Amino acid sequence: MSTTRERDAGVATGAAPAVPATLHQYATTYGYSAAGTALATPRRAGRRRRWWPVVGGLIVPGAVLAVWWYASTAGQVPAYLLPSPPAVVASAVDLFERGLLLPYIGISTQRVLLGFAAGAVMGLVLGAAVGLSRTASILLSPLIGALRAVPSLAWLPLLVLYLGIGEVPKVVLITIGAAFPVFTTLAGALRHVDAQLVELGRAYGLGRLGVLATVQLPAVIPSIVSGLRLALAQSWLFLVAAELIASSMGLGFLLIDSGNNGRIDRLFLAIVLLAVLGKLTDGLIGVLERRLLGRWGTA
Amino acid sequence: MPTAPALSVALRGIARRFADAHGGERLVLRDVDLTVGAGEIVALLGASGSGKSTLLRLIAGLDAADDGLVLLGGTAAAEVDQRCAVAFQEPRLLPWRTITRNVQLGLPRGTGRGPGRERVSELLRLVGLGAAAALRPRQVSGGMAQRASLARALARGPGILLLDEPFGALDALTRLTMHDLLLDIHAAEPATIVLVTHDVDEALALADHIVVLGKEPDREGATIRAVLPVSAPRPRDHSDPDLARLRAELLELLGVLIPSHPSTAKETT
Ligand SMILES: Nc1ncnc2c1ncn2[C@@H]1O[C@H](COP(=O)(O)OP(=O)(O)OP(=O)(O)O)[C@@H](O)[C@H]1O
Ligand SMILES: [Mg+2]
Repeated sequence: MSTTRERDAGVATGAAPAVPATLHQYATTYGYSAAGTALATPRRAGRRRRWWPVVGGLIVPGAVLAVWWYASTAGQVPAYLLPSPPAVVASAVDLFERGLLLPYIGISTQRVLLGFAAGAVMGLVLGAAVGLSRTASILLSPLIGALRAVPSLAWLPLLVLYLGIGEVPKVVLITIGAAFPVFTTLAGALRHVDAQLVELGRAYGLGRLGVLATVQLPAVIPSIVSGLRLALAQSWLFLVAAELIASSMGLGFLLIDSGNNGRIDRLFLAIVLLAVLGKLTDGLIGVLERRLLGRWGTA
Repeated sequence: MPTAPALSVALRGIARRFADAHGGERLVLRDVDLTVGAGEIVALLGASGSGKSTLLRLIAGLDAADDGLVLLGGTAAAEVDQRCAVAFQEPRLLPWRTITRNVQLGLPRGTGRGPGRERVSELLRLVGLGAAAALRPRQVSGGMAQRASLARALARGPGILLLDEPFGALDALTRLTMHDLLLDIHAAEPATIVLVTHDVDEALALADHIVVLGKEPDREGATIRAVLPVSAPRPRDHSDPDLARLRAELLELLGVLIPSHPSTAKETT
């Protein structure tokens, strides 16, 4: 274990042991972490201009809105292709007055949260098993890998056939979609926990459970959080897939229904709502991430 | 603070092979016979790659010998033997824990909260990390991390203390301070100490016996080339002629040419 190379690396980089490449890093490298980038930048910069991340983050969306508004009112693009922002707002008010807007949002959010919760638990359990136990990995990895390769929509007819068109098949589909990212990141991260730290735990008298609680779990918490983030994004994706095909309410239904009826304003409304809801729920995970990384992070 | 009584360490015909890159096997250690009396301090010297860390891991039961026997206090070493405390060659601190909480990991099971906290802060003070107690490993220097790792091993109060280059990352002055600290602690809580080092003077300053690990010409695998007793009383004076003679002998054993032309001298460690 202790080779010259490792010792030299330890000396060269000071106290910080080489952090293994994890999916968490992968995810944060590719920008999929709101708190991740904030944590990566030196704190000094953040303190000096606290307003900048908020205001700066609004610039590009504001510009997009302005271009949209201009293009839709200047008369160059016909209204049946591009509704104006006020028209979209009006359609929201209209749907609200018909008593549809809130139930649609509510049912979609409920499906996502239920499916996400179930999928996260499944992913955590399976990921822990495969990441910690060689036997479980040998037995389960091939099957899980194959199932993951199946495109989400392929499950839908089967789920409808078996489970009907109620809430259950939709939640199950979302569960499937949410489970895989959590499973993949957790199993990978557990396998890459620094073997030297695991050995350290054993050397200091920790049993299997002790090592899990003291070394492995804290080491993979950042990965778990990124897995949950990806899973939540997947949940919204799978929600739309489920609602596009077999439903009579929800944002996915609003999408397909408006498309069929040429209600471009409602179509835009559905897209905007999905974006806002997705970002909001992601923000909740961001809060969780900041909390956990404050406690278990390495900074 | 109860500490375990010192235990003897006996190695009998130890051999260890590792798989090499070509699917074959490489003999790293062979025919290692050594007895360390209870409460003794033994320094293990040898070239890089000669198997010092491997030998330490075998004593701690973190690795199993292919041949031979490890006896601690007369009984066979268990897998991950809890009678030993190891300070690894790397600091191996948990990055999400403060220095204090890292050192706490070393406390023996069943240490009460109060006495545990007291012992940890006392040890941190002794290794000069009192002010760094609340920092995370990423925020301390390499030498500070190494001292935290030493404090963690000391916190155990073990019968056998295994230290793998514990002072390697320290400057000369801190290193001397740590030598005194180790000897003080050893006087107060006499554990058996096996200490790996590259530094001949460190071995001469600390050890009751100096063990030189190395290869014999034309034979695969390192073994014990010499066990030299150091009888001078502590604190030791480097100008002591006995020590000077030992020093020359050690350097020669380590393959350092004692030159008529100093410019041709070559360190192999
Ligand atoms: N787990 C392992 N698998 C394969 N080879 C190993 C393993 N551990 C050690 N070795 C080999 O055993 C030899 C001795 O390694 P060891 O770490 O004990 O050396 P060392 O004397 O401590 O060296 P250094 O002074 O550089 O720390 C090396 O050649 C190393 O490649
Ligand atoms: Mg070594």
